[in-house]
Amino acid sequence: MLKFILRRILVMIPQLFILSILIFLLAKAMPGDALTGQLASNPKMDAQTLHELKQKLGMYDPYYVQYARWIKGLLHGNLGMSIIHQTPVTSLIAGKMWNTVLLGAAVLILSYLIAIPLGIIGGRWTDTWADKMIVGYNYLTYATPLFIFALLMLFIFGFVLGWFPTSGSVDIRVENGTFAYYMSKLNHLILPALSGAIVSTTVTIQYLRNEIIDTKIKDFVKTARAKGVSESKVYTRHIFRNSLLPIAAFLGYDIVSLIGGSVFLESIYGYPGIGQLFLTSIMQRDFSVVTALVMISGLATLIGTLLSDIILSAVDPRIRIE
Amino acid sequence: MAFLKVNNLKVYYPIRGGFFRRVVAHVKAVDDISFELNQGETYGLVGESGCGKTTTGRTIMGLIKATSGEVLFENQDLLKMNRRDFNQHRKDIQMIFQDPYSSLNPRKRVLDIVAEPLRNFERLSPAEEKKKVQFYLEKVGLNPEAIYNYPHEFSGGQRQRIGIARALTLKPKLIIADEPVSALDVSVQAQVLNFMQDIQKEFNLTYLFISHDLGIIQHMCDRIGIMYRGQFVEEGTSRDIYTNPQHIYTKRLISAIPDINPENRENQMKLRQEINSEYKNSYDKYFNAEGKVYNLKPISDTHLVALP
Amino acid sequence: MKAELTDQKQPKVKKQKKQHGVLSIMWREIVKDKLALGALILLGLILIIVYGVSLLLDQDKIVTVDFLSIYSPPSAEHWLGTDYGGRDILGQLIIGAKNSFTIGLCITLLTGLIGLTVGLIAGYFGGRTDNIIMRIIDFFLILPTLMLIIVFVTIAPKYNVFYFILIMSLFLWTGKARLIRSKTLAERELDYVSASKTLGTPDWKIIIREVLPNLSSIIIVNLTLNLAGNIGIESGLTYLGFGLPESTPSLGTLVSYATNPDVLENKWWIWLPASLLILVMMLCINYIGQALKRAADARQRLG
Ligand SMILES: Nc1ncnc2c1ncn2[C@@H]1O[C@H](COP(=O)(O)OP(=O)(O)O)[C@@H](O)[C@H]1O
Ligand SMILES: [Mg+2]
Repeated sequence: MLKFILRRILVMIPQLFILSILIFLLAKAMPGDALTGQLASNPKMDAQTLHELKQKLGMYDPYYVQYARWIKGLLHGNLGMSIIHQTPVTSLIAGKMWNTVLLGAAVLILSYLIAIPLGIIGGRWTDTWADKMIVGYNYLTYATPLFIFALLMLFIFGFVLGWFPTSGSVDIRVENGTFAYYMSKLNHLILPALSGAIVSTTVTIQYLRNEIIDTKIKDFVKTARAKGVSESKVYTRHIFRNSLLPIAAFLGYDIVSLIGGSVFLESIYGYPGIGQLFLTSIMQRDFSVVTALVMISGLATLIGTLLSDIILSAVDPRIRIE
Repeated sequence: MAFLKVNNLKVYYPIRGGFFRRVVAHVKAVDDISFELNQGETYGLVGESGCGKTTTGRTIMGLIKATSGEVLFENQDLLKMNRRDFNQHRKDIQMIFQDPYSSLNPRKRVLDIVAEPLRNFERLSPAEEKKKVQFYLEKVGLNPEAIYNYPHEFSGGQRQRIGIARALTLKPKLIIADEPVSALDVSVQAQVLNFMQDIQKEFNLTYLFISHDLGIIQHMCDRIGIMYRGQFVEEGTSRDIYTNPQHIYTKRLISAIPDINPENRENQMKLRQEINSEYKNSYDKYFNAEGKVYNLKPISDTHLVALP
Repeated sequence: MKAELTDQKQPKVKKQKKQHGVLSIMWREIVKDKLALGALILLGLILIIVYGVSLLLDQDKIVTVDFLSIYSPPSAEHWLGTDYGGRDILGQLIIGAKNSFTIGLCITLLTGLIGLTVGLIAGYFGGRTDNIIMRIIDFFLILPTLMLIIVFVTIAPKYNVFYFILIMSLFLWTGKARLIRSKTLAERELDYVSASKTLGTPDWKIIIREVLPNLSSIIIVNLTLNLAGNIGIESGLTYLGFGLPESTPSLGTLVSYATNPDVLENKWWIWLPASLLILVMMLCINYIGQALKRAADARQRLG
């Protein structure tokens, strides 16, 4: 087991290295940097000062020097300066990171809260009308793209019914740290989190339902029944325990899909997080921010997959062989 | 001159392990075996499951890479040949597979299955091809009209016949039959075996017949090699092996053949027990310190035994 | 001996030619499943209307700005109203649907081709080849795909539809390659592959003529489900502004007008029909895909 984890981490290192090179090259390939962009808008900027500024920032150094500098910075937690905002990228990201983490956690929790009961009901009472509804729900949410769903939710609950705020992460009029502040945060969180959660329940429900249907007819369950254990105890003691465990393994993969999802959710709900920062940065050609965000997302993807692989291998030893 | 001569053949499968998945050990599936086949005979390769029979057959066929050794077919080493020359020899050596289900592609019609080798080696018009396929189907006792059917429409025995028809189309000289009837119902086994003997005469075939069942081997083979853990323990004519087995492992295999005559059952049980206890007691006599067999030594013109 | 042979039950020669193709089997399954048949018919209707009408439509007229009828709600003249430039929404909807579907299809076919080739090669040859290919695919798995596609779209020098298809395909082939590889790996252990080798059939022919047909139902199911997914991803990216270029409007373009809260709240005719059309197309394609999948699975279970 430990060997598997170690080997899995060892594989990560070259992957990270290649990822960093790829991102660095991409950053270099981006057309027009933010400085050149200011040439037109900023009257104090002329070609000469621009040139000097670029020299000062080391933008004319050979690529490998720039790469080494960038990596060194990365390792020190220094992601460079945002040229647009004139602040360190790290603090820029840190400010938004918590919103995204909050949103992501809310999506995950809600999605498990919806998926697990539905999966259990579907698995336990297969082919009842409730099960059929669940299968239908599953099929609908699987086929619906996140951005359409989120938009419809926003339109219906935000605008038509007016139940929820339609933009932002908190009401700016309430004072930071008060009870009203947290309630406002929660209020802003519900709609985006619910949209994200509902479309990401499919895999869990389907897995759980199938697992339970399969376990139901296994011998140890039959034995328990034959011994006169009551039906509900058979489920809580024997079946759920076996079927719920692998669900944990999806956690890592869920994190991976959340990264893409947050871009849509935050853009639709005007929610100030990493996804929105990424979109605005790329439109403003603030590429030090873009590269930092892609790198962080790559790292998160890597860790997410690692997490799931490890949990899976703990749950099911057969996987370790591959 | 031997028709097929296998010299010191070794086939090792690597076992990977440890942190870097390096090769840490080998499964010695075939460990230094030598034997030869004469034209027109049926040579039986027997041994319990996992002793390396399939590996031997498939290595001769070129499906598995040998670790070392020679496979001389008509005096040419198949293992050292380049692909193109080897492909020419493909026509002369063919194989009948153990599993009549997986050895026929379920998506292909009988016509396409049987014609596959023809399409690789001969240029025939569709009409000629069809005629030839039907000819061979008839030879193996199938309805020649069935060429447009799919494999799943046939029984196991019939599928095995389709496999044989496919092997025959290239007019091979040697056929390696890897447990050709072990997947079939006992009632069909005899039919297929008899029929294999018929076509052997008709097409002048040499068989390398692989089986774990000495009863079947007895019925089919002129000469027999007994394998144990990748090595030979005894080789001889059918007569040598059945009437005068020398190695304890051979004796055990023979005693395990079920007797059809119920009156002999009790006798047989006794014999089996005797041999089993002999096997336990005299293990050291037949196997060396590492548990391996000794080298083969001749005890007559035709009979070789692995004894110290 | 001969007598024994002839009295074995042998299949009677078929009078009418029975269909055995994968497609015809799948067709039978779909027809049996009424909902799937409904989905197929609905999708067919949508496609016929979209492709048929877009032939007749005067594209120039649709993209021409008409300041006299800005944001006009649905009327007899403009069935679905107009946008901020006074352009007809219905016309844009039809062109957008055509573009979205065509491009989704192109991406599906291209990723299918790449994934199939790579997967078959890795699975069939195994060993070192497989190892290298799998390491590359593993690397793709850790990429933050959506963000990278956006970055690639942004840095493309001469950005156009082909470039978009290429970028998308570059990132989306790996799942298929993995699937095909694992199925090929299982398939090559079967004796019919060994048999073909002993019969002198070259490797490429074994891959294409022997192994590939045995994977066809899996491939068809996978391509169908992917088609739906790709239409979703394309319109999503276009919605964010990183998808199809403006010269090729897609359904996502119409939905993206909803980033303006005023449009989202008050001018539903602009973005809602496109959203619903995406939804309906994806539901139909997915349902068809699921039905095909059930058919393929059931057949596999029967053997
Ligand atoms: N691909 C392989 N990799 C590793 N070991 C193998 C492989 N194929 C066969 N073996 C091993 O080689 C030995 C001989 O197998 P085989 O030739 O199939 O035996 P037989 O046909 O006599 O039953 C067995 O111990 C088997 O486990
Ligand atoms: Mg075998």
